[in-house]
Amino acid sequence: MGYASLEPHLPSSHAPLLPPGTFLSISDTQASDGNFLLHHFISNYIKADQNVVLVGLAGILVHYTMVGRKLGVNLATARTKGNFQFVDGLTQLTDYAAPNKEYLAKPTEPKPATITSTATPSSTTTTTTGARIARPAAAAATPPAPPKVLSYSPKLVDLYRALEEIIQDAASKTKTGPSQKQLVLILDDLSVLLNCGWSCRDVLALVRYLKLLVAKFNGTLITLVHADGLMAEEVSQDGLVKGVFYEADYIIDVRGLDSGGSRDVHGQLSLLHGPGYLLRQRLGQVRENEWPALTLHYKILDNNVEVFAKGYSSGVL
Amino acid sequence: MSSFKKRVPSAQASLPAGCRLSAYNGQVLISTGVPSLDDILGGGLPVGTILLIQEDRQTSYGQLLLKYFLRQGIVAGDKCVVVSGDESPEAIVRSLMGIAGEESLESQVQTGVDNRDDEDEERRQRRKKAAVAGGDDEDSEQDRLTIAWRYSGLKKFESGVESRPPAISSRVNKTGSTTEPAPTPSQIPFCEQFDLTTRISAKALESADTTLIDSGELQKAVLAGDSDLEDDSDDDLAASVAGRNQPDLYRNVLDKIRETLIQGGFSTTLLKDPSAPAPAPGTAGLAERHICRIGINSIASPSWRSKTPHDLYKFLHALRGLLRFSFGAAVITIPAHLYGTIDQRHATDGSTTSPYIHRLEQLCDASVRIESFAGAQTNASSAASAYHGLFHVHKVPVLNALIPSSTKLSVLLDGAAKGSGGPGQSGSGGSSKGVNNLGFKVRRKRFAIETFHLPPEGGVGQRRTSAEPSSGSSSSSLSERKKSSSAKASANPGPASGSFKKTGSSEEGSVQSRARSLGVGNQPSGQVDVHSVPGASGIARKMMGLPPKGIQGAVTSGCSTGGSDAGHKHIHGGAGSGANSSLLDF
Repeated sequence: MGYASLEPHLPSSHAPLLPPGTFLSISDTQASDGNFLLHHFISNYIKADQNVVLVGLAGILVHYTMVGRKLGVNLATARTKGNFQFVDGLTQLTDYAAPNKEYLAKPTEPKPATITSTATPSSTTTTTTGARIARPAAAAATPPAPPKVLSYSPKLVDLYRALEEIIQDAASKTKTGPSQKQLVLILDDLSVLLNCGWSCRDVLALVRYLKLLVAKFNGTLITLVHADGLMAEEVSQDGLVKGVFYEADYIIDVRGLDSGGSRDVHGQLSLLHGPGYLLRQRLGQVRENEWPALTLHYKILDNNVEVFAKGYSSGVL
Repeated sequence: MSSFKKRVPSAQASLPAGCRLSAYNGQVLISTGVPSLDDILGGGLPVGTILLIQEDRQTSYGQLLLKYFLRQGIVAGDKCVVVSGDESPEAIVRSLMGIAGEESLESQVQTGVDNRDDEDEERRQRRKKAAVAGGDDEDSEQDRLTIAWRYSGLKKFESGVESRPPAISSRVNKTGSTTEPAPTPSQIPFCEQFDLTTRISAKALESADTTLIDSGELQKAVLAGDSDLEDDSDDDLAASVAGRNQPDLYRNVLDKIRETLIQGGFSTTLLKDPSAPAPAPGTAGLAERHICRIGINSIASPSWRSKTPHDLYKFLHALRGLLRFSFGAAVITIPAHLYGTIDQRHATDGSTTSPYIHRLEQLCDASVRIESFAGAQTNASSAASAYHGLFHVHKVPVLNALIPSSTKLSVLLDGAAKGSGGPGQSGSGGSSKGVNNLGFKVRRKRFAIETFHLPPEGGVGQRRTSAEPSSGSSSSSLSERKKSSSAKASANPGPASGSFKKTGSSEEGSVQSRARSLGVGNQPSGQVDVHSVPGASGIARKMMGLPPKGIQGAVTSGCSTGGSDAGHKHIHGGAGSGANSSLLDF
């Protein structure tokens, strides 16, 4: 389980996972980072042995791994099992970063004796943000291949194709028995795409395509956008946020408290119904009270997040 | 693959020079050169991150912080990359500050007493006396507090971060000769103490490993290149279309940075020679690693011409991609005040108001803003002459964890204090929002960031009869105001002070004298009535002559201080409203 106190507030039909074929959109602000929600879903899906494809446009794999460890999931083993795919959208995404390609070490055949040495300069065993003494990899497990990288292309369509490939790959590899595993595709975060120069329309189109794609594979789509009130002045920023909300079934909006900072409550999160939800409701696809629209307060702790009703923070009671 | 390193001596020794591990999550940290800034960041700047400093308007404290960063890098033997357009990088490097106490090697007997500022010296003397007088610290505390004895158990409220005593004394005494052997990594202090009145010594400059990138020169080269392209447009159409993207300044700077990182072997994923077999990472590999410090001065200033508005963002994105997989960190200063108007409508949490800058902050791991009092209207000095400006923290690094380390560790951001709210609350650390207002001051010899607080009402010692400008600040309590309004009576209006007259005892500032100087300055403003809220309140800011801040939260007494409010009367609890009217000029 991710955060125990958040569980009751999520859609109950497929708890602890999200209903397949839906789109959850998370929006946050600078004051209140929505990252913690992504970790929650990652850990839920991994613990339930389902597939996760995580596209990191602003963060690196090590970050998710470390936080995952605090929440009790081991992303490295999930990667070797095939449950977890990380797509690197940071090192070669833009035309500025594209020349990085030429300097990457060429992959060589893994020599059995020196597992950590040649084959994996860019895999999860080396890091700069955490000082590590490199030890030979545990047991004789071959280290997972380096994460797939999204390389630069002026059109977002190519990005879509790359993701499509990855998802198809992931889904086919882990087809066990008659029912296909549930999949979740997490985009962290969309604002990067917009700010790197792609137009708002393109980014929204990408979102739409991905939503349909993922539904085909029995999955859900989760995206993160930055939606500070400040940015609402810019048409493209505002357009992206509104467009993403328009496509969504579920919306979780994370923002800081209106009255300022507090030690006991870091912010509030609002669970909202997206237009998709209303449609599905009308079609009778959702039960009553599956996703009540609420606003809750939260506080981030070292390895957990407490979510509680307004006014019920443990600092008050 | 444990992220928590056991504190074995061997683990410590295997860090690169001048680094240390974070107490919270074991990340490798480097010092920014300013101990209080290190504290705000949670111990230091994590390797692989970017710190964005939004510059002040008419002074160059932003550049000063950058210089501290570079100077610390030189001390530690790190590679320093200096990128600058407005000022030549050579000039910046030459004007770096020297190490405190370096010049006079003989006078190291007293470990740098002459390097202390007056306040620190006072504090130190007091501590020494207290230590000598009372046996146990606890006992002497309890002896002192006869009324508020319940508070004796609480941690002392730290308004600032003490800088370490300079380690240079130990180094010099060891060798005693002018040619010292290069200090081993364990001897290099994490954060050296610097002296702003001296310049970097020639010896240090020579031994410094610097790469200077002058973006002005690059710019000229770029423009020259463009014109070439135009001339040969017919011939080179194929070439220009085929692949060589049009060069632009940010791209060139990034290419140069990438080159430096690769050539210097700072990157763990990008290699000089990709086809050569990668060397096996040795178990002690970290100790031989060096850090690369990248300092960019005034990025996006008017002299940096970009092709598209997205250039700078892409630059930061790509820089992050490079740094995350390298042993390096970057400090970037940006003249944020040039972008967007100070339209404070949106500043509900004290963040910047320009969407352009806000976007950039999303990609930087840490973001701070310096707001100096220089150039603000006259009353600024009277309100806060002890400080040279406010220091806003917009973002602190959150790396590999759910909460930033400064929440747990920072003294200035009130992290280390136990949560005062809630009974039996296990100290879970403060919100990283920075419950404290922070201000900075630049003494003759050092730059310090401290919590910005109002000195006690009426001064600590004697009553002030002469009209010295006070050094109060934004917050005051209801009772203080009541007292002052009743005691105001026949105060002679004192002369409003000019610019930063450094008052001898900053603690003697009182609401009274501030009120007086306000009366002289004919400033229609109400009294300050908010407890410390994040960011100074509107009225307080107006009092200090700063532009209004916008609606702040948690305003006590229900007096919301909107930016445009021109001094409304606060009538509280029957305190003499007659006395109030002397303040308020309608």
